Amino acid sequence: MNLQDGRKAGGSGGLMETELSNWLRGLEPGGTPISLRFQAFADLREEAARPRPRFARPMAALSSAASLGTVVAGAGLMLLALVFVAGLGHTTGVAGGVASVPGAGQPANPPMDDFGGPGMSPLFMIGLPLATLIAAAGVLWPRLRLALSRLAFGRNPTTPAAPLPLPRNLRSISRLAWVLGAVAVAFALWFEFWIDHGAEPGPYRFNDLIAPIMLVPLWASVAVRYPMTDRSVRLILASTIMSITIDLLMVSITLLNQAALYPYWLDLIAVLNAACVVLLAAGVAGRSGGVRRPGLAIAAVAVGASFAMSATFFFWFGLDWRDPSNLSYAISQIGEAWFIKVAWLAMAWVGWNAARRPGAHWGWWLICAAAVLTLLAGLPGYLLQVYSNLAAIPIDLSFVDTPVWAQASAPVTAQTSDQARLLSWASWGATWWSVVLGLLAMASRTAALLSGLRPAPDADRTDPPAVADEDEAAAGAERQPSVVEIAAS
Amino acid sequence: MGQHVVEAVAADGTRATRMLDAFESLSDRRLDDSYRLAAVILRDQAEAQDVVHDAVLLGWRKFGSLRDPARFDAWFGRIVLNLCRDRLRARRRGLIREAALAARAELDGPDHSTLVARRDAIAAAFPRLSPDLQLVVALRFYRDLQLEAIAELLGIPLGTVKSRLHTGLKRLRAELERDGWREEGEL
Repeated sequence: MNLQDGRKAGGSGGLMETELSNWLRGLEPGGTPISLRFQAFADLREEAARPRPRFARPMAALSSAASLGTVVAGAGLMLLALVFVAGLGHTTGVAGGVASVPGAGQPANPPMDDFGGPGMSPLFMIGLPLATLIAAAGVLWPRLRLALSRLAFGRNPTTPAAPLPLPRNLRSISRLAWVLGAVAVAFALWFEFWIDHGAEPGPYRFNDLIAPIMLVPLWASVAVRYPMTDRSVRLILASTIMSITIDLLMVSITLLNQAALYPYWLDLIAVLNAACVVLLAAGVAGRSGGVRRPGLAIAAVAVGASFAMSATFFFWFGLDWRDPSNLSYAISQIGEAWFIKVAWLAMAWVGWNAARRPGAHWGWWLICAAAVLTLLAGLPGYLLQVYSNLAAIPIDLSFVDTPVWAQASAPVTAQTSDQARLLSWASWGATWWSVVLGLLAMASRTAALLSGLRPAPDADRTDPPAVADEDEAAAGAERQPSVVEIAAS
Repeated sequence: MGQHVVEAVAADGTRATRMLDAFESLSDRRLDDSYRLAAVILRDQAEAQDVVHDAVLLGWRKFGSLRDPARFDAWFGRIVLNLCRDRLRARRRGLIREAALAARAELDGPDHSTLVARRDAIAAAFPRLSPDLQLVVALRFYRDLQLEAIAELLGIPLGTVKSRLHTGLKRLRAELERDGWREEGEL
């Protein structure tokens, strides 16, 4: 069978296709009933004559806000119940989550995490991602929204409005993406809580917990919001799925603990990481419909400064450069940091220029914000590193958990001064800054993608860009006013 | 419709009236074609009328979103197809069992080699496909559309169209063979 077009070359082999075609044609009605035309256009005129409801937009926004509130309330209730149950388990001293010392003869305290809650309870660990999943599914799935609404507010005859204007449903997310996302999140959480329990400093643990969870709405937002016929969307989706793959790869390699592979797997991760962000930048740039390019001088300064930052930062690690593996590691890391910085700078440029066009979609501001936040996230750390190296002040890290970069560049010495201690605390703050801004950037990027980025209108072009047309045809729900001009003409 | 409606529309502003006229003119051109397509996909003329009626009203509500009038046909066609898909999904379960039993009775009967029996077998097997597969197969074998055109019309990637068409035909063949169909035509 010719699978390209579903038709066989001919002969008796195509009997089913022939009969199918004949049967379908036999279903064709003779003509359109006159009543259909009459009724449809009469109702159309009536619909057009109907006055628009007052405060339609605020009411829709309120309904959406109430819907979102319902989802959050539903997920929050579940989370609260889990925390309560976990707390009961701890206070009564039941097994699980109680680090008792044999023979001590006294009830043990529950292990508390950095957030001051019983975060290490297995029930809580399962409940947190589950509640997140429920909240995400509630946003995307009307039936669940209805069920949550009934739970929260009693019997409600109508499904709450969609909290987000999504033209597609969950079916448009491929099974592969679901599986990858679920495995990555489950794997990362399992590793974080059961394998690497408490081994990492607070900010990293926080990052490792939230980041994999945020990856799922990131790719889901692309899948439900954009048509896959658009190349730029495929690039963005490839980038988000690659992020999940990297996450998965990192956990797997750490689990395997293959010393022989070190540091070559880091090189691989570095290449994939850089490719991931470059793909995202290419997709975002394509999605913008083309913005003006930066001047050569600006581009040269941005690229040069990014390289200088990436290279100097790494030279202060104090690696033995004669070792080939160290050299290869350093080159891959410098290259990764350089490409990533340039890609985010490009996204900041695209977002800024696309957002400033008249009639541009507001989501481009979020792209710009995500890029700026990502770039700012690493700045305090870099400045501290510069200061500590120039002033030759070792950082006393004996009293705080150790950010990796600070430990490598400034080994702990016995002669710790007040200044060094201050610098160490500053480095701790810089790490938190980096983690929080990184997560905010990811949230901003997700929100931008969920908002349904449309190509920025070009003042020099009279006809709309092709990619916008595709969206309109695909979603049938984008709002553009120019049809008025069409009607007027 | 009464004169008062037209007056009310006109009073609302000439711009709105022009938009309405433009939409009516554009959708009127597509009405016959949409009705035929919906009737074939749904295999029910009454439901097809409902779908086209709903499509006209829905299209008017979303008309402000259409930026390029040259794409009206594809845009309106997709609204019709989406409504057809919704209807197929809604009624799918009830029909399958009855249709399957009817097909079995025909093929096992004495007059099984006739054209009618073959078509009835297809008529029984076709609704057992999922709505998405039905849409692709119908567009390919009723409309003779190229795969690229189907992809554009449905707003799905070309690879998905190929895969759905392949799966649809494979499942249809399997269903028919289960009912006693043989490719050589010897039922």
